[in-house]
Amino acid sequence: MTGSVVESLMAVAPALNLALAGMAVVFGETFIGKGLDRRWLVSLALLGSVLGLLFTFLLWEPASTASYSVFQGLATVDTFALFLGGVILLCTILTLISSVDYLRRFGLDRGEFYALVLFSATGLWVMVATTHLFIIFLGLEVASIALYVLAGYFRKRDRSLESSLKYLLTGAFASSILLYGFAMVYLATGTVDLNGVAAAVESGEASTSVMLLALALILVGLGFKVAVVPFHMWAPDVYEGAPSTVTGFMATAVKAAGFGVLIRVLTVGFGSYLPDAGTMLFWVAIATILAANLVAVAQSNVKRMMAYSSVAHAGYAFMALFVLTQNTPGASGEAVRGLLFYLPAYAVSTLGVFTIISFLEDRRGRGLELEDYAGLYRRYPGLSMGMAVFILSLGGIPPTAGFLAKFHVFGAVISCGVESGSSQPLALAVVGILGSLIGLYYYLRVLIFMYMHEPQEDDRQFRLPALGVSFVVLVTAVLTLWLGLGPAVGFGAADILGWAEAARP
Amino acid sequence: MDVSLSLVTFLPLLGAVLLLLMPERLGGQIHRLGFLISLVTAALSLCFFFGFDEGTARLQFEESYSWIPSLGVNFHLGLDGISILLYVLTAVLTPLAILASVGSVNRRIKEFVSMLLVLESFMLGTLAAADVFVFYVFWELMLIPMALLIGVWGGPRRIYATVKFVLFTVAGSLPMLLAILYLYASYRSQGIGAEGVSGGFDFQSLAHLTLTEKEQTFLFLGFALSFVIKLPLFPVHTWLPDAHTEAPTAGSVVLAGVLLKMGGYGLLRYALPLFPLGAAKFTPFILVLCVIGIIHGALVALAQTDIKKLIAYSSVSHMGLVALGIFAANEMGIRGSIYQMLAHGLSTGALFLLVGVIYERRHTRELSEFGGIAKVMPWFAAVFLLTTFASVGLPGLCGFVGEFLVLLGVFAKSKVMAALAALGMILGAWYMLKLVKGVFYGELTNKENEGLPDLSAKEITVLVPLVLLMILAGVYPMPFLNKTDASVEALVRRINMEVPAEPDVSAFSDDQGNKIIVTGAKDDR
Repeated sequence: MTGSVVESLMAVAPALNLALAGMAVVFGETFIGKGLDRRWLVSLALLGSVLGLLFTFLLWEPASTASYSVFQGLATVDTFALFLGGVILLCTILTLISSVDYLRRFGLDRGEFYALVLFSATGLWVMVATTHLFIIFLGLEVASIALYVLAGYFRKRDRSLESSLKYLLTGAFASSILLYGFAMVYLATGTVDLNGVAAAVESGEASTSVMLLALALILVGLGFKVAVVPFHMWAPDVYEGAPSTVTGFMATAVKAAGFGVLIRVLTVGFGSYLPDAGTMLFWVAIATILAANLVAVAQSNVKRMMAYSSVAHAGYAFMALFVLTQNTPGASGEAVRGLLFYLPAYAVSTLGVFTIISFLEDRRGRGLELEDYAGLYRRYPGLSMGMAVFILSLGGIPPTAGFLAKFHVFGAVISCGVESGSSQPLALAVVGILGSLIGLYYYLRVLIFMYMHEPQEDDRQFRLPALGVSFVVLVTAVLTLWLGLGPAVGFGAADILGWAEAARP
Repeated sequence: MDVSLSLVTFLPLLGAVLLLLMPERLGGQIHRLGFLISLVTAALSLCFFFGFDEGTARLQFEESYSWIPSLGVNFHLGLDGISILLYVLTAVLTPLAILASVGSVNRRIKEFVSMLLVLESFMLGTLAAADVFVFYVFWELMLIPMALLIGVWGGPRRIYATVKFVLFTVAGSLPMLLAILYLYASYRSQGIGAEGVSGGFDFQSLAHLTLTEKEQTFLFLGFALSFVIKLPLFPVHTWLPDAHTEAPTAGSVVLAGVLLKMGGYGLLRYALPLFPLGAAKFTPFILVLCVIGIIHGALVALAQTDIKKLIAYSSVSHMGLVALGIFAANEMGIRGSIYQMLAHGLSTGALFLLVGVIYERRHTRELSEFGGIAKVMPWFAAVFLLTTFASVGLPGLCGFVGEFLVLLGVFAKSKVMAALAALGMILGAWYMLKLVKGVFYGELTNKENEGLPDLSAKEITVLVPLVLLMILAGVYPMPFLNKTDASVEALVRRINMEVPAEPDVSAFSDDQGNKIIVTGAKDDR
């Protein structure tokens, strides 16, 4: 590898585009009112992220076996990174578009919002595109700090400030635990590069007790970030208080990056220590699926319900991580592929839901209760049909993305059981199914309110959905159906399952 | 008669999309167009009925397209003797249901007709699917339009009924998903199918799996739970009366006429032939549940004062008989069950239509509100009486053939069960005749009933085809019954050949000469 700077910069072009666009937006904001319309800033932000996605496609070479390491091994731009980076970029684009109308209605349409989303996306992209633990931490902090600010973006709302503060405190706590885990890895192996760690583990140089401690700390730290039980306490409050489109971004892009890091750390670095994490992942998955789904049933606020729903989905994703620890190579491959399919499938449906939530929220923060959704089909048939698609997808009903995603993850867990002959994975699958059944109940309730209840008499005005909102709902609904049917109908190169397959680390 | 099976299956869905794109103000026109689409579907489905080769148990009119190559899922459709009758029944009942809803549904007509068409497509797909994945997708999809039909156009307690219906159904289908995934995983680990994972969901290739008795037990549970809930069998039947009472007439017709049969069909297609050892283990238990269902349903029906609820409980009783015939697991019983499903679809479909007729006129279904209606509505009374007879199994009408065959089949299996089931039949005659007597005969006491108009031209159009079919199927059952012969024979061979007298290691060959190893003992991991 020549390692020339230009080559390295080209490889991280998607992140570079995000970062540059973010800075340009910040500078541009100072010229607002001096002959610069704010629409230009939004366009600039979009341009940066769309270009990033474009570069992702250009860099995508699934068959290539060349080394992807650039910047002397600090960044690893392999298909895995590009795939998850693509998911993050997609989430960023959709969040930006749906935020325009939302912020404008609240009179908060400022450049810094878009810049912060872009910076956060940059950090997330960096997280998945490296095997270097410090760079992972760097990306995580860049993303998190931007998100702390975004969560508190509605400065005049107490809940938004509360959200920001809670996110900051728990986030900082989780980051330090994670960092401590990374330090333990360094202590045990003398390196912070995951490939080096793997080599040290294989040669037996690493101290077992220290490595296990490191593994536990890393799982706890990242467990906070992706919000699994018992590290999920912050999620409902933060999700409820943050601006709705920001919540959508947190629930999708941040999770995608978090799980990306989890897969990378588990599959690349820890090798023979993985079976020891099996029990922990098993119980975390079970606790997450059961607790989150049960508590979600009791929610009357749609945003809170979606928060618990996102915790529950992290639980299903943890089922796939559990498979990685079981010494079943066939099933592990399936699990990674399944998880890689799960993340975009979950992301498009969730972003669609949060776009609709943000549209229905009014200036005083009302419109977020389930009752406010009564009879919505009469007022907004298009949005309601979109919501039906998203909800069915989250509930795992065919022919949507969510169904196929669940099918893959559960399939991997069952294959793991058949391959290993152990009943533990099968028990996990049964719990997962039980959770899905409970989940369907509260998802269904949203649809029942929208379609089967009479609309409420109130003073809320009918608003025509803004172009951006309609666009995002349409795109996410089409993607949700396409991911459910698409691999199916044979779109050739666009076969996302094939991408996920190619993206396995 | 080269009609593509997938075309007929998806025709109603395409029609529904077309309807949804039309402007709402067209109202009645939309209704007519929807009727026309379903009528064309029905006509095309008859091509399969008449073009069906009775001499073979193989799938006919087969079509297969690669769907999800990475999983080996093929969009594989086909019909055999087990599905053909139900397929045609579905296609024939839907236009009648749509026609019956003209005038009685005035709210969101466009969506209503579209939902009926969408539901038809998914039901046809469920029956035609020859790939477990495709089957499961259609199976889950059926839930959505049916839930909307009950929940949006239903009666006062519609939301409760909808939630109950959905949760019961899903509680059954999610374990089935796990079982399907397990089958798929075993299929790959056993390396059957030379071309890798291709066809890993095809039920014909799944039949070649080697499964231990323990595995079969759990897999059978996973599959059968879903089917007996849909059927519905005794302890899990409680969703049905609620769903029926709240559903609009057309919804009830489709629910009773076809949707319930999916349970019986699923048992015959998947649960019994794929897991004969598991099925054998549960058979005594299920037979008892069937008989409890038959008698319990009949007794509860006897106590009802709401006509629709009464018919709903009669469905529980009749479907118990269907399950009884299936688990008798001999040719007589299974052929009887299939025939009984057809007959029940016709007669109960007609009964719900008839209840719809009277409900539209009086907006009540309380038995006590009626009496002596025969004087003002003689034709209505005549059709109702005939349908009742068909339902209770009077010789010469469709119900008799099925019940008789089932009872014969069960008699060979267990005389006690047959006797108890026959008792259920007697109770059935009692409550149905009580219904007829209460509504139609005696003095015309209620003044509100005096000016009731008799059947309208539309209602006659809806009912005549059903009446003719009920008589035809009763007098000359052979064209229907013969269709099932070869497939049922193969099915019974498959179910019984694999059940060894001793739970021991033994080997059999199936009709294609493939070795099937049945391992009964080595499963105590």
